[in-house]
Amino acid sequence: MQPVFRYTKLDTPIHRLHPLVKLAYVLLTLVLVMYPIRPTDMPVLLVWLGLSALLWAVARIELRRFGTLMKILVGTFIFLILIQGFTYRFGKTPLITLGHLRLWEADLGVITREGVWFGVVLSVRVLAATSSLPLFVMTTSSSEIMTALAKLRVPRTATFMIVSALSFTTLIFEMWSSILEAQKLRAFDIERMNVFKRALKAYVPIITPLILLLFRKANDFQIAMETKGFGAPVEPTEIETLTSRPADFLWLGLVVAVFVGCTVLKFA
Amino acid sequence: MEQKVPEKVRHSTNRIGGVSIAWVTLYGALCGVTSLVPIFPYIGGGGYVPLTTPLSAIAPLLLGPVGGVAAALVGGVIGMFIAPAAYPLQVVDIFLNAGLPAIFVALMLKNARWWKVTVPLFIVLGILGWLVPFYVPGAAAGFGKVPEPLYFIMAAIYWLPSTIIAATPLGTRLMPEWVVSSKRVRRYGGVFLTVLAALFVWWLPWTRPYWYLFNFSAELGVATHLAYSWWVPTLSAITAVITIPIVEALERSGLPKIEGAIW
Repeated sequence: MQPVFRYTKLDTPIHRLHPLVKLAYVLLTLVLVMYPIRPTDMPVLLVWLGLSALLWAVARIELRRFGTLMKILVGTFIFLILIQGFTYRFGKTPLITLGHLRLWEADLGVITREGVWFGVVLSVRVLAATSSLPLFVMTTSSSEIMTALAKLRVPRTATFMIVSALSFTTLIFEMWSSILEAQKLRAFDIERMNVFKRALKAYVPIITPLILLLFRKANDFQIAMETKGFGAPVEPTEIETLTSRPADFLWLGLVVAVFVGCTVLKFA
Repeated sequence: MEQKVPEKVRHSTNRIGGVSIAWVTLYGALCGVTSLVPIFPYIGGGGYVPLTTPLSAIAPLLLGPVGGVAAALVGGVIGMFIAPAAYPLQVVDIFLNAGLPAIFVALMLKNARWWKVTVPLFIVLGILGWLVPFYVPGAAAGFGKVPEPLYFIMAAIYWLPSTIIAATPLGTRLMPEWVVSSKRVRRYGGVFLTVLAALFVWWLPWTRPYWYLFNFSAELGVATHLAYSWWVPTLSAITAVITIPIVEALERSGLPKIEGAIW
């Protein structure tokens, strides 16, 4: 169990980009994918996906990461294409006929060309939605995230918790692996269990000691925080000071322009 | 004569709902990390419910209502950073996958006092769950017509029993007692029912944004209601099975107790 998408330190224009610009791109993606969708929306989605591909390329993110993303999403895509193929209510042209089973507005025995196309459009919509956040995660360090959240006036305690929790994830991965190995030594092999046996039996012997160990660590963490004066009524310093550069405004302009272009293309 | 100087009392930033933020942070980190652990498949394929969801649901039982919800939200944010592909709706998914299960369990846990909030909230969510997306935005956004009253009844399965539980002495008196009972069977029952009532209602807001995103057909909407009617109790049972050993271990651990938690 290891995260596929994690921050990679590189010197690229996207890594140097102000985190708030990247956040704007992520949020605009969310707005764009939540627009009501029609089968004719493919160009809009492809334009935004093109922007994402450009950002991924400039950030020099390896192609295999994109492959991993596709591997995660392929099940969803197959599900969407099949389901829409069978149930799309404006489907007229039969592609494959397995029989006839009319249920309200759909004939569930026929896969229609319009339905499959709509499934493909929805899959591209999901891909557009999921391609933005990995870019942000892989090009933004924890300290930059902390500073960006502070700039957004997120309460300091919340920012501290999020960034601390992010840094603790490595420790939890290690603890998880150690407990898993210890249980394997006791002939309790989670990897050999099927999904239902796993759900009912596997997690208790792992999660219970993990939570106990974590809460004990939390006590030490609490003492460390108090010793370091967390919560003292003084303005804390920032690890990283972020300043806006002309390049940030140019990238922001590009992202906003593409977003406006997509919106016009959609509603025109 | 010694004069008593008034002490300047400052609101502590080190605690949330009576829980140290160190505990909240570490439990949040755990919830986040477990977004990589698939626990239960979606019906019809296309993904898995991560271990984050049951762990977020039980957070209010382990850390108290406020601390638990805060930990679940931190977990949602961390999950979004660790497994971004599993969070296509980004901030919305933080609430759907982690925040809402914790909020609903917290409400059920404190239902003796909060039923006046819980009951209307469940009714509103139930009606919204029935309306969205097939009536609002409905045909304007390309959604089909659902067969009535079948669809209303199917949606009611997910909110009406929970609302009845929350409004009756079972939810206002018995369940809050059972979750802290020293009798194991009663405790299992209490935790299972608390989580069940919460997760049934959670299922409505959890699914609707995705139905909208995937443009579900009316037939699929009805079928999904039917198919998930056994799925939610199974997920609740798994959650109860995970919770009780943790609670018992915490009781024996000698760790400082948390106000509002069930251990």
